[in-house]
Amino acid sequence: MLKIKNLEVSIADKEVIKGLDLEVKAGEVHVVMGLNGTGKSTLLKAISGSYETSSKGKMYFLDEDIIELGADERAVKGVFMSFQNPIEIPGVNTIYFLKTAVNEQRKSRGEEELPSPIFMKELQEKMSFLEIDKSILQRSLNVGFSGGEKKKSEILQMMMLHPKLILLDEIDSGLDIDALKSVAKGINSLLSPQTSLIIVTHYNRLLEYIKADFVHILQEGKIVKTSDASLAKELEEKGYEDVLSSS
Amino acid sequence: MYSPLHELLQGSPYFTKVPSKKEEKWRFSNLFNYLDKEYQKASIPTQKVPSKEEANVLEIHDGQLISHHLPSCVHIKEHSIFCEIEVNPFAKLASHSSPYPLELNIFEDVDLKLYFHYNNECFLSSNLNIILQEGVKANIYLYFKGGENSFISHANHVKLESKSKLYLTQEKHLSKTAVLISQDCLHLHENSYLQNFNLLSQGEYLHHFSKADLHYQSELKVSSLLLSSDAQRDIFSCDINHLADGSKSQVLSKQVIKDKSTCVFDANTMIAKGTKATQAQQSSHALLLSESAQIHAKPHLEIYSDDLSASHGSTVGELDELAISYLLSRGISLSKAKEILVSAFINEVIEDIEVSEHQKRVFKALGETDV
Repeated sequence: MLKIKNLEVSIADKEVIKGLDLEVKAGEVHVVMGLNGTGKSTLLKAISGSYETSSKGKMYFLDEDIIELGADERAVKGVFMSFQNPIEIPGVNTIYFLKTAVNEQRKSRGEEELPSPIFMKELQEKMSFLEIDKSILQRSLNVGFSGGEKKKSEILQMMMLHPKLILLDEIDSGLDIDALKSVAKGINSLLSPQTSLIIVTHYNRLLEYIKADFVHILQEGKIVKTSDASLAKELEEKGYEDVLSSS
Repeated sequence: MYSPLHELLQGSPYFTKVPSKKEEKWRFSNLFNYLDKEYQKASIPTQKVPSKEEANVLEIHDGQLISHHLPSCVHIKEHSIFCEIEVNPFAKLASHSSPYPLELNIFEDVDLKLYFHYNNECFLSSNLNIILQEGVKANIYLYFKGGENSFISHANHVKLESKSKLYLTQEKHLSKTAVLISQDCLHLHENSYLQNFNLLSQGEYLHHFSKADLHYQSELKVSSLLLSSDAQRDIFSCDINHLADGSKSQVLSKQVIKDKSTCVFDANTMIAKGTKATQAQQSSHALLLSESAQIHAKPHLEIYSDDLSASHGSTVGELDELAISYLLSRGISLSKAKEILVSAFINEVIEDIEVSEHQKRVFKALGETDV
């Protein structure tokens, strides 16, 4: 699904990722953990093609080199990133945004636009599944949303866009227990042998609901340790210094 | 052929000389550039037969009323001139040099549409007086079209008797080479209400003045949307006088400026001595879509009372890069993302239009412009 070789990423002329290799196969769930400032969010932004990042190296998605592609092109190919702090966009109402995103992607792929009744039916089903109140549809995107509402809105967008590679940047931050369960439910509903997931998180609690295949520790812009899901628990018990010094 | 501004030098009773570059109230107006431009006088416009579908519609060609189909509660008077408040020289020019000043005296609630068509390569004046009698509510939509290579001076004189309400929307989408100086002279009697929306979207030079006198517990909402492109210059000026207790005013202007165009927002709100419980707000928000685009914003409050609430503010910015990035990350192309954000920016001022039919017409007009 995703192959990264010797990736170097800078933000505002500062090198953040310093030669990173990563392979994510279809159907796998990868978790990236690390201390603050080690490049976790930058890695996801680089994969999604954010304008903030300047990348060098090799990056293949579904066997296609995407390093030169813009964020919109990567999204159309099936990359979805959920942001740590989703931006508020006043004046753009949520339902209009969702419909535009769905149809723009379909148009770019040569597909017909989704008729409104079908779009609305799918949207209502997914909102009900995520326990999202329909009142948010008429509100401006993310404006005045609580932390939980913003994260659920990200998951709703993800579910409507059917991506193949899902990037979640601290999706669990600021969520209460019930919201966390809803979000996890939404994520799990999309996981399949054809869908891959990379999660950035500081905590093990999300991983109680989502089964991780690999956990990577990022330090100073490079992956310094990789193991299975038990690594996340070990980090929570012992901390980074002890875990890394013992390896 | 003659130059309209030179006419002012030739013994017009209303002022003796054209304001000089220095004397122009706002130095970013380049009206003096038109001083020596020559225009011909407008010829007699052609007649048009009103069709059945055009109820409550008036057609005015080069300032002359051509056709109308109105209910009996609207009394039309041609060749009527009135001017309740002191206005700027160009309003007087429009009023008194217009060959066909038109007055609508409205006695019952009504919806009206007025089409102002202008000929090409002419100097033209047009004048419209609107009087709403006590307690009357009217929705009036004015369209301004045409005027290729023309210099047009238009004035609306509006008098609202007590407890009347007027929802006035003006769509100025002229020829790209038209010059339009338009003014609203507004006189609000006690407990009256006026919402006045102006869309300035096409013309070489569009200068709109709004001057208002507000009396006891009257309320005025003035909003404008200026869409400037190429080398266009759009100016929105507003002088509001709060003359009595409890009067309220709100001025909201949004400007979308691209290429080498320039917009000016010049608002002055005066609150007279001894008035109580006055409320006044002014805000201007500009979105610059190119490096050469310019905005000059001058909000101004002149306060002589100490029992009031007043505010003014101005913002200038470009499209939010983070917002663009977010939309791109959802597969929305760059051009579509910009279109969405520009629409979001201007929606606020259009959604403020209280008459839904007027809102729809403005949205339709925007669909036909290159925003």
